Amino acid sequence: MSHHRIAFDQVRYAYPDGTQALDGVTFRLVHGESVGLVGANGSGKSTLLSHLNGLLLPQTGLVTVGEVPVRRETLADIRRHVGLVFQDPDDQLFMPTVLEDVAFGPLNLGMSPAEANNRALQALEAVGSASLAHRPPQHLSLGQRSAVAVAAVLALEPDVLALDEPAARLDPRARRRLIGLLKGFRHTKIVASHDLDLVLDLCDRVLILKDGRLLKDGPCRELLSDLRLLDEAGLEAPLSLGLIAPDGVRRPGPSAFC
Amino acid sequence: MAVSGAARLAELDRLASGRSGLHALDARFKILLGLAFSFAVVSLPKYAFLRLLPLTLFPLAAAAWGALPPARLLKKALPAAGVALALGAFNPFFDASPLHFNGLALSGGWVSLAGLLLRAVLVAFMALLLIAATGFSALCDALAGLGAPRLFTEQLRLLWRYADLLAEEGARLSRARDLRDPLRRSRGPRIAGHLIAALLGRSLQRAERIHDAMLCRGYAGALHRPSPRRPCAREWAVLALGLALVAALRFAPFPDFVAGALP
Repeated sequence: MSHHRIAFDQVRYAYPDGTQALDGVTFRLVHGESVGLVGANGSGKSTLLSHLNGLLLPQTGLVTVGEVPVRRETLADIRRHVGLVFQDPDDQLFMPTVLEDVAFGPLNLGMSPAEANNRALQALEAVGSASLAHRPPQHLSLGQRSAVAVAAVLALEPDVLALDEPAARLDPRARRRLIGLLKGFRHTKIVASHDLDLVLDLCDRVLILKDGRLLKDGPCRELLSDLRLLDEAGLEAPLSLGLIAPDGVRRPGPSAFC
Repeated sequence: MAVSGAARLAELDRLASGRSGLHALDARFKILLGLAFSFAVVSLPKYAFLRLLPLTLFPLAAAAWGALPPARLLKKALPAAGVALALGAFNPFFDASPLHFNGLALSGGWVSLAGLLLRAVLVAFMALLLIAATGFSALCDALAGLGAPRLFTEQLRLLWRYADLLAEEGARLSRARDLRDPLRRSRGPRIAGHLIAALLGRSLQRAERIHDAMLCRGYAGALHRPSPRRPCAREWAVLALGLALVAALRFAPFPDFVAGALP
């Protein structure tokens, strides 16, 4: 059974203060897809990611990973297959050394300490951070911590990799390195980000959220070139598309001609 | 202030990566020696200030063995004297019983206060020495190996990591206040209360996110830690020697001219 597929069916979720964070979201992800999740602040991106591995459970509707519905009783299975990389690596790296932190997940899967360390070292190799194995996470640079946070999730060998603002607060070089790293992974990926250039670089498809609803789902380059759509979603076109002239005047995207 | 707090923790972590004999000694034995020393310090009678002095040799010798900087550790331990001062500030006023030291009369309150300050600094120095020679996480493992409840040691371990982040959050809040208060008018308890409340709120949110991150990686209530290794004969010998040294420093007879002045 493949866990690479994800389905959201009419998922709704409201926070206790009444904010309707997800309002009838429906989409499918298939094996090997790389999907961007974009939207203005408060559009529901992080809430949606939290539903992928059951940190939040839908109040109505259904989330399925492979054939398994995300429910309280299936969480252990779901979390083996969906790895979530948090926005702030400090939230994720809590063990005394990088190696222990990356081995944390494999140990929880029941591996022996030797196996878990091997797996952790492989994951650190994959992100080019093996030399940091014995350093305390809090003494690393933000770029290094971000790479280690990805390794900590990769060590679980998930089928689906979900990333919440992976390049937020990274300097341009660290951001570029992280993009290169993520491009190399063949996992099914879902990347929530305000950085539309990063989404354009990494993803073939994009989901645009607005006020907890799925505003549009389609090819990344096409949707991120649509200035009207982006404006409606409270977003701006990626700089790399050259749709904003240096003088700040917007050039029309494809649908502006319709 | 909070930034230097984070830097202090970072420095202890850095010192713990040393490769001296003290660093290599089984962490459980280091804890036992630290406890024995602390017990020796606090078990002395309240007026026995002079008897504390030989005991200062023990942590200094340990710091020398571990190639750890005693002056830096002492500086970090000094705030403990502030707590002791708060506890014993009224001793000189309530305890005026005279003590005679080779013909010199001293107030018992002042002697007990000085003893309290020295005890606090010595115990804090020893605690910092243990961390600097072992690493906090290894100490938590050692405590668990000595029978402390896992829940307690895991909380301690996370607290150490959390304290670092808490210090950073505190520094950011403090800086934000300072930048908007060039005349330093917002130093009162009301603003301090707001800052502490904000810090607590942020800390709780972060704790929640950390817990979520742990759950995402299969955490089910227990951290998997390596099994303790079996201490070698040399380590047993160091333990025995260390305990003997503490006992000798605690119970050794003083020269007559000092002993005559002791209670």
